[in-house]
Amino acid sequence: MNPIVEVPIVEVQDFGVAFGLKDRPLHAVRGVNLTVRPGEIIGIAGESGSGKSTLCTGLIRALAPTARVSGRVCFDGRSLYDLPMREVAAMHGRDIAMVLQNPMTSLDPLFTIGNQVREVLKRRGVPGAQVREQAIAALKRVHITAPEMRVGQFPHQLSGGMRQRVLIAMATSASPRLLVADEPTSALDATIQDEILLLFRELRDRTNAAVLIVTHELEVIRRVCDRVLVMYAGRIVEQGPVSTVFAAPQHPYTRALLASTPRIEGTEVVLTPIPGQVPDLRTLGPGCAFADRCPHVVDPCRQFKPEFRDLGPDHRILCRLEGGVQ
Amino acid sequence: MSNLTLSGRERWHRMSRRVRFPWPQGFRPGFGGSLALLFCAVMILAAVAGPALAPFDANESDFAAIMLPPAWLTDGLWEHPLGTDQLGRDVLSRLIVGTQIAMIVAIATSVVAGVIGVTLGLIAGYLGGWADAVISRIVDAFLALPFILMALAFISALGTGVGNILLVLIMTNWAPYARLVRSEVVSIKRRDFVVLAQMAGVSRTRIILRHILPNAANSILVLAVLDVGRAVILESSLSFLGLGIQPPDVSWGLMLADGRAYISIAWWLTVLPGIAIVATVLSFNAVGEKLRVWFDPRGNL
Repeated sequence: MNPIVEVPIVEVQDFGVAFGLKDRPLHAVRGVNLTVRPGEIIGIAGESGSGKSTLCTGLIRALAPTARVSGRVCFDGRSLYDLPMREVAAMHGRDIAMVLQNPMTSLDPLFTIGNQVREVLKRRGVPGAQVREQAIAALKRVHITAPEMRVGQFPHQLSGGMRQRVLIAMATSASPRLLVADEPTSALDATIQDEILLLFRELRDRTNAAVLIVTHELEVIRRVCDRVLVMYAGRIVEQGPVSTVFAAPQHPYTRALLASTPRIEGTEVVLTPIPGQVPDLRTLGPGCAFADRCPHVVDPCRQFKPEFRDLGPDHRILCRLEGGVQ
Repeated sequence: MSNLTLSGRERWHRMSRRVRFPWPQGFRPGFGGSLALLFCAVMILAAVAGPALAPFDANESDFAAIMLPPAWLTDGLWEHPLGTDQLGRDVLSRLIVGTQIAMIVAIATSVVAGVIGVTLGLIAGYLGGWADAVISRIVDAFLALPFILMALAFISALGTGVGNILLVLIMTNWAPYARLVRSEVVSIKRRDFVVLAQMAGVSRTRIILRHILPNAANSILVLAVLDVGRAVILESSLSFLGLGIQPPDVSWGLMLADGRAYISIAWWLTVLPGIAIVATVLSFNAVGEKLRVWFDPRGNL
């Protein structure tokens, strides 16, 4: 790719989010450094409570007002947390879009599909005369059959997969520059998942938008993403290109996570669970958060903070062990 | 099957297939609902036309015809279809004239109390925090005060009269709206479509008016129509106790109070206004229910 267009859309430095009391903070996310380039699809994986959603909502300044943020987030070269909220709200309507997990509750049950799609288009500054046409075009793009009929229907008349498509149509209409999808396929059945995931690729190809997909299904990331971030206890423990990470995961947690996905070997379904529990973020020791569950743990892991190590282009892990833990 | 062996409901369905009343699209009141609507329409007509419809002046005494029973009983006269009271006043005329005050008081109360309560409920529910704490405590205080006691205090301070009764009823009826709306808003504002709208930078006012209020409208409508019924009862109770409408104005509650002394010899003086109150309350409740179903887009698949 031409290096001139490679201006990052999101740049995050030492980003942290804490909740709770000032003197006993709960660090949901900490020490995140990340660069998102236009046209990139990034998958964020991790167990429940690893900070995936918090990171994503933090990146676009959509956290609850009780969250305390540290570090620096730049969107399109502007420091998001230094801008007045009014300008951020304008960005949210225009440049940043979001898709949530549950399509059943993400549409207002009292308005027709067309009405809701048009509302988004109007907010994104589409001139009134074109709104109707563009709404139908947006629905067509997400492969909704008979969009002219669907615009007059209410959400309850559509299936879950159809509704998620509508939401993606709304989120991707008028070309946002960053789309955050928080578990976009978790509430859908397996056959629909694929079709929905393809929509994200289409969006990227069409508008060169950056897409962040939060998921706990590694399969989703393998299929559609270019880059993967693996989170554990609020930190990114491994990040790198999907092909590299899935072929040869370097962090013991990534490895354990991949091994815990069920695979079919012959007639048997095999999966290796990760022993132990996600640690309580309040009682983390000084060392590596994964130490207690790590099969390769050595003494220094528990005593010293792990450091980021670069393993290749764009590939880094948060672990003190040398790559050779096969 | 001949028409005679059909139940009322079936006959109604057959008839309504032939004669289609021009209801708005999707509105299916059914037999009971149509009856209730008809009754409500008659009530509102009586309230608007009022004295013009009544065969006699509501306060015209005819001492030659005291406590005449309704016309279909022995000694009844068709001149006074529902009989006369202890002063020889025509019961039908008094019922019709009484409708006016009952309707004005009931509808005005639920509209004004509704607007006040809904507004405060929206503010409390959406803003939360201090606004919620302050409004909710005031609501609690108003709900804790017994109605009759509060009415007594107000009426004795302000004096009787339609305006003051309205004031008392509004003061005592807004709180349930605020509480209902607040709780609805608290749950609606956490729903994903509101979160997405907030995310998209939609303004607070617009979210409240476009997404939250319409989603709470169903419950508000139900409460409002129930409240019309409740207000009819409250106004009658106040008048019955002598705190409400004062003669020469006519009210159903007042008729009940006057007739009470003669209940053993002239039952129609209490039973007929009682029926008027019950039928009005029932009809408004039934209509409210039908409207609720109609307004819910999931209701007419």
